[in-house]
This record gives sequence, structure tokens and C-alpha cells, in this order.
Amino acid sequence: MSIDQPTDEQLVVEIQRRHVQALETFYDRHRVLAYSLAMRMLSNPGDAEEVVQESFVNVWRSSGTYRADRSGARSWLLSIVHHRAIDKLRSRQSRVQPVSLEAGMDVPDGSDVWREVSENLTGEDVQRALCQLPAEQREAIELAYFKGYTHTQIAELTEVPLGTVKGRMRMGLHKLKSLLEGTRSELVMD
Amino acid sequence: MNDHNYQQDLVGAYLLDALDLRERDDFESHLEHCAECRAEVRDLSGVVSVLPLACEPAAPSEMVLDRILQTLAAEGSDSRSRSHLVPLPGGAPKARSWLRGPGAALVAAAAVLVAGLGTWDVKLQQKVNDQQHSIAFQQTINSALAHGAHVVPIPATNRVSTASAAIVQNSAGHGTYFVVQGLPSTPANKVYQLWFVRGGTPSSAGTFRYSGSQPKIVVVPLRTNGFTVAALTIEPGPKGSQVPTGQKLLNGKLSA
Repeated sequence: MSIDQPTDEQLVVEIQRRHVQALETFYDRHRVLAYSLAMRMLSNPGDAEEVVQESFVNVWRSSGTYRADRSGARSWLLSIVHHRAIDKLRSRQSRVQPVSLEAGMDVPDGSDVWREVSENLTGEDVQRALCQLPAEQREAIELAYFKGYTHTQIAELTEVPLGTVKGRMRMGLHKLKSLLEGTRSELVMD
Repeated sequence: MNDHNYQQDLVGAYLLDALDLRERDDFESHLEHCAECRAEVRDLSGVVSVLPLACEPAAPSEMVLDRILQTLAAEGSDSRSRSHLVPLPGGAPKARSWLRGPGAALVAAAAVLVAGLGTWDVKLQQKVNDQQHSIAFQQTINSALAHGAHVVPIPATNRVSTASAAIVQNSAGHGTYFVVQGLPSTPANKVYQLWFVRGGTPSSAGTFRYSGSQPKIVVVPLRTNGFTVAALTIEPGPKGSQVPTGQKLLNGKLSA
């Protein structure tokens, strides 16, 4: 990003001030990632576009709730997209109560050090790290994050105890963090 | 059961959105009182935030931004809203909304004629589509006028006789929009570029690409005050030109 371009966080400040062009710039910058996530989760272009559209409208409406000290603006946007997609997935299933739209959008995205790590990661880095996870941990994370299953549903699907599923998710995320931090170290050494 | 141990096991499921609503509420209540779990959540939440990077890249259609802007513009008509957007009708007209417009009888007659022929004429279908989109454009402008917006039509030149366009500025003077419909699809490596002209000197008012035939709303970063002419040209993409170099497609006077 050039020195003249506003950061994502600066764009959200402008969105809070009701500058539509800031939203348009924010959309242009992150539309591919937002749509890619929605498509991975929903496998339907119409539904994915609807989720992206609703998410950016939600960014406009709730920009006043964004806190730059807790998460990067991109992370905040993607958490909105993810929640919207989860709602749509679970309404298809119609067996599980939808996740509250507001829930979790205030989750911090890690320390300042991690933010620097994450800003330099590529899709290949994340895919490679996921592949390096033990298969059962990767499965638990993917079924939860990309398919919207609850831990109870995953236990039923995979026919393992619920406690085991919880452990796989938790340990899998810890392992993934170590792998990605290791990737960052390699980048620095290069 | 030790509640802390039980809740701590849910850290991963919580961050991956794999809890139901009640479990989530219970966990968040626990977080308020447990620094250890808060620290672990903070430690791992960044990992979850990069998972979308693993997705196969794909781009949404250009319609998505149009629909977002139309939704926001419609919300500008809400007196409780602080938005200064032009209150354009909410969303692109749905498939059936144009049936209530003045061209409905014409379009319905065309549909009956085609059905009677027993075959579907692709060219006639295109004419029906174009009629729908022309009506949608007019409805957009009419609604803006009804809400007190200042609308300046920008006529098409002979090169694009099917196009309709207007500059729309809301009554408070905040927010300028360019609404256009019926342009040819933007060729590869080209962009449409809007210009505002003052004293013979053009200023770029933004670039965009166009496809299909539905109305497109473009946010314009300039206000019209002081400019006397608006024009649209086609320029090299992706960023356009410093001065107009391409064919002029639309050209009209702006109010003083």
C-alpha cells in the first residue's frame, strides 16, 4: 500500500463520518476476500453475494462500534461476513439456533505483534499451515469455521466424544498459530 | 465440574463460532471474570482472523456494489439517520416492481406476443430487458426528485443514443452521484471517466466500468458547484487519463 493510501482503520473512521466514498474504497479493497470466504462457506454465488452486500451495509451501519485497539478493520469485516454466512448456513439446516449477529464481532484479533504477522501472510502460507496440522484438528477447524457446524454437530458427524472435538479445535488453533508464526520468522530471515 | 475448566475447553469452539447461542452467552459471561481465558482468546483470535486467506480467490459481480449504494441511499430518507445520502429508492427494482410502472402494459404485451409465437426471440427478449432497465432508471430519477434532490440530465451524444444519465445531488448539498443506464459494456483495458468542466478546464470526477444494461450509480467525489459542463469519455484503464483523450459519449450543461 502506498504512503498516500488511507489505512483500513482510517477508512472506517471516514465511514463513521458518513463518507460513502470511503466505504466504496473499503469495499474495493476487500470484496474479493469477503466474497471468497462467503463462497467457500455457502457454495452458492447468489447467497455469497447477498452475504457480502449485507456485510458491507452492516459495516456502514455499525461503524461507530468498531474499535481499532481491539482488531484490525479487515478482521472486523471478515468476522461480520463469517457471522452472516453462519446465519445463512444454519437457517438452511433449520436445526440449530442462529448465532446472534452481534455476537463475537468484538473479538480482538490478537496482539500488535500478531497483527504485524497476519498482515504479511498469504493464502499459501495459511493453506500450508492448515495442511501441516494433524488431520483431525484440521477437520474440526474446517467443519466449524468453513461449514458452520457446532461442536456438538461435529461430534455427531465424526463420531467422537464432544470433549475430544473441543480439544481438537483448541489445540488445532494453538498449533496453527505456532506454524504461522514460524512462517513469519522465515519471511524475516529472508 | 470445575466451571473454569469446562469453559476453558470451549475457547476454540468459541473462536470458530461453533457454539450455540446459550453456550456462547455462558462463555462470554465467564470471560468477563476470567483473565486467563480472556488472554487465551486474545492469543488465538488472530489465527482465526487469517483463515479466510486460505479460501480460493473469487470476485463478486459488479452489481453488489450498486446494491450496497442503493441500500444506503434509501436509508438516507430515514429521518433518524445521520446519513446525507440522496434518498434513492431502496435497492435495484426487484423483478416484479417495474410491473407497476408506466411501461408495464407495453412490456406485458411484448411478453404475450412472444408467447403466442411459440418461440423465444432473443432480440425481442433483449428489447424487453432494455425496456425494464430504462424504466428502472426513470423510476430512480423520479424518486430522487420526489425527495428534493437536484437532478441534471446529461444527454448522450450520437455515439450512444441508447444511454440515459443524470447528475444527482441531494437537497442538503452533501453527496453527488452519477446515475447512468444503457452504456455499451466497457471494453477490456478501458474505463468510463466522468469530467466536470470549469472555464474550459476539465477535472476528473471519477472512473468506472459498466456492463449489462441496468442503472448504475457512481459516487462522485466532486460537488458540481462552479462547474458548467459534465461529460463522459472512454479512457485507458484502469485509472483513466489526466485530461480527456477518448470519445465523448455524454455531454451536458450543469446548473450554475
